This record gives sequence, C-alpha cells and structure tokens, in this order.
Amino acid sequence: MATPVGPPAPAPRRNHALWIGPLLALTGTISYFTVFVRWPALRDVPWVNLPLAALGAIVTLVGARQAFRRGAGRGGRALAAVSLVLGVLPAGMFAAYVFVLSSLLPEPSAATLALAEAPEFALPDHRGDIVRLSELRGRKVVLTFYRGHW
Amino acid sequence: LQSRLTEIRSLDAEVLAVSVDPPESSREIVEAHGLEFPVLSDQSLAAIDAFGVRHPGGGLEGDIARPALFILDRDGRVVWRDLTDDWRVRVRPGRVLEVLAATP
Repeated sequence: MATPVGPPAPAPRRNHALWIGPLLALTGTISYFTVFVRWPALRDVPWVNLPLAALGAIVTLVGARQAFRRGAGRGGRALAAVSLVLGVLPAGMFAAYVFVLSSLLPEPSAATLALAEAPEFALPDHRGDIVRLSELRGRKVVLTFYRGHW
Repeated sequence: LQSRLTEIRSLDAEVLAVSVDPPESSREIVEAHGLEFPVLSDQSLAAIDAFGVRHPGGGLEGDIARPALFILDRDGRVVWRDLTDDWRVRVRPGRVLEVLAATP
C-alpha cells in the first residue's frame, strides 16, 4: 500500500522579485511625499527616493522577465503583469514628477523681477481677519506665495 | 520658515504666506503644521497679480500662485526675491535669515 515514490516534483521557485520590486518602488515614491520632503537636501534632489524607486522598477523588471521566460502558467503571468504595473508605474510617475512636472512653471514676469516697491494688499488670514501689508511698515517682511491645495 | 520663526522675528521681521486657498483651507494648513504666522487667502488673485506671480492653469481648478518669496525692508521695498523654477525646490530658511540680517 506504499504510495508510489517518484522523483519529487521540482518545487516552483518563488519569484520574490515580483513583490520586492513593487514594494521598493512604492516605498520610494510614497515616502518622498510623506517623509523626505521635510529635509530640504533630500527634497530638492531626491537622493534617497529616486534610487529606491529606480531599484524597485529594475527588480520588478528582472522578476517579470524571469516569470515570462520560465514559462509561468497563466496565474504566474498575471502576477507578473500586476507586479509590473505596481513596480514600474509609480517609479515612472515619480521620475516624471521630479524631472518634468515640478518645473512646469511660467517664466518669472519681468515686472516681478523689476518690482521695487511692494504693492499694498489687504487679505483675510486663516481666522478671517484682514491683514494689510502696510500694517507691517517699520518691520521687515518675508512674503511667501505658495501654490496651496487649490 | 516656521522652523526658524523665532530667529526671523529676532531680526525684526514678520512672515506672511499667500495662496489662492480659501481661509478655511489656510486654517487647516495652519493647524496641521502648527504655523504661527498669518496665512492669507487671495482668492481673487489681486495680490498675486500685483506681484506678478500668477501661474495660469497651474491648479486643478484654474489659476494659482507660483511659488515665490520676497523680502521687504522696513519701508516696503523689495530687497530680495526668489522665483524658483521648480516648485519642489524652495529657498532654505538659512538664506532668508542671511538676507534679513543684511537688511538694515
């Protein structure tokens, strides 16, 4: 009644690259916005996040290549496709943001560059109180315009 | 700038921030980041245009301000400005302190 003992079926080697790659790419991309933007040196040039995202994309590509080469079944190929989307897309979008999107600003206007006297304004602050720039005459002012959350 | 606010004020300067966000959004930002300087709302872009820092179509819902920083002396003259060409790259607070210290 012994069960026939055949050669053990080759255990399918787990393709860890297919989850490590997307994990690295997503971590690299998301942590830029949630954590690393707080340090100007790592915000201006994403020394940590870009390499991490790029590494994630490469690991994903290697894993997906293996999966397709090894003639993975339908499930394996689907997994590899999902991995490709999750691993390469965020890295690509992050690179596009860093290298293209964030510098899509109009040229500074000549009027702004030549501005000598600060024009007066009266605007509501976050409590609704009106603040006039001229109220600050006699003190120095750091006036910063920012994009906001629109 | 908030991180160096004490030093900025010790140089007899005040910080003002301006965006197109409504005051409620400014309040959320103030509370989220613990800001201790006024965050102003320029929904009509009047001040933004007066300084020439409108970014047409820069927001999801229309025009917004481009990032810009001006340092004014005690008489309201512009003594320094930074118009970054990349909105991720902003003036370091240390630079602001240097300029303020050099401004009488």
